[in-house]
Amino acid sequence: MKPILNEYFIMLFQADFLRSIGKIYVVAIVSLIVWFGVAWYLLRLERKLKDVENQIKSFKS
Amino acid sequence: MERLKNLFSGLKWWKWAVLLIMPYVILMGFLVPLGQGITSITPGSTATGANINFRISAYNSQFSPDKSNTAWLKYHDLHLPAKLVKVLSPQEAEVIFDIPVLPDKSVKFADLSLIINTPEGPAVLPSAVSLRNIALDSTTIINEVWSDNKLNINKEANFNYPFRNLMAETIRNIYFHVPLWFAMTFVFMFSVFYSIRYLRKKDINDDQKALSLIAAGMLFGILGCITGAMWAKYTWGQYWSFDVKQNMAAISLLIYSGYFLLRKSLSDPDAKSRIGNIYSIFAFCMLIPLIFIIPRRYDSLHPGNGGNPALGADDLDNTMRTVFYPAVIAYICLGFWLAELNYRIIKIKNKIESHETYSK
Repeated sequence: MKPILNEYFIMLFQADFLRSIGKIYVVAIVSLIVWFGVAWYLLRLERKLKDVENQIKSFKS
Repeated sequence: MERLKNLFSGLKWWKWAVLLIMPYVILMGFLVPLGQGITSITPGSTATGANINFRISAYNSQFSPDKSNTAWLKYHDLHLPAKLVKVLSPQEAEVIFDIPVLPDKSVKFADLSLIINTPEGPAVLPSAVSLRNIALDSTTIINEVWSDNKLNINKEANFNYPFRNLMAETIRNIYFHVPLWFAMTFVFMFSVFYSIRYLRKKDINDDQKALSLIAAGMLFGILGCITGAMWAKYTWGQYWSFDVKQNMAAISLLIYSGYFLLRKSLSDPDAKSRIGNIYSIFAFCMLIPLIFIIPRRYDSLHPGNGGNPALGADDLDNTMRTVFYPAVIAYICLGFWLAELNYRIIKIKNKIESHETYSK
């Protein structure tokens, strides 16, 4: 198990990893950026909603 | 089962569009293979009169010696058939040419493209070989001639995305980067609609709709810049190459960020909404020339600039359209979804605040 993982990490951190297999990993990173951006936005909404909920709670008590 | 039903009940059609189209875009975007393409050729230069073996390596190809493969060197309308295509491996082949003098003797150097035609379809390497066009001495006899007959090129056999040399697999980014900009523009367009409606009717809900739409549009714009920079690094060589379109997109995002600054800096709620909405209309009026007009008037690394409209047949073929347009629709609907959630939260918040002030 260990040597395979090692090889994988060596591949991951070599200079041209992102250019390997026709630069497919660039597409992976781009789609991940989009996902993380949307996730960040959702987390912000989550926080806003939490504030509103707390306001309601304090309002009721 | 009941819980699942509750989860989806009352979802508007455009939310269904996001839920259904996004997986389609991701699956098609990643799983449909790329067409075959030639990645390298050696030697890269030659002279007329030579009997020369080019060794080519290809990407995603299934060369086979059992099938009929043909190749040509192409110079403008003229082409020269290969004497022999020798397949070495599925990804490697040797093509052998006898190169006669070009009919136009005044040409000293010519950039030739290589076309290889296999049963799976053609592959082209533009500017593959640089040819020195020199007159031959009488001892070399070449029977081949440059002709301008129509080439018999096989149709693409499979459902493939086109192979472009610089881009290779990153052509798939068209489904993840470009729709961000489409969605941003569309969402901003709707925000302008609500801004105008606010200024006419002074309904605070319209102001908040415009605000949340602009927030969602900004998210897409920022993501578009980051993904574009990432894509640029591995195709144009730099994260930010100060390309016209990159710069103008950044400027228009800065203009839009002024909208939030303006709202934050004004304390009077009425002035805040009024000035903010006027600003957003002007910001949109700046966005259109900055992103859609100015980059077309200058040389840009982005496709479709320097005069030609984008999304022509060179940039987007029909197989890509089957994914690209659904992707645009899904991203636009996603933008509206994000904006709507934001709007609903703001609305509840305002209701509570007005209630609080009322009860005090």
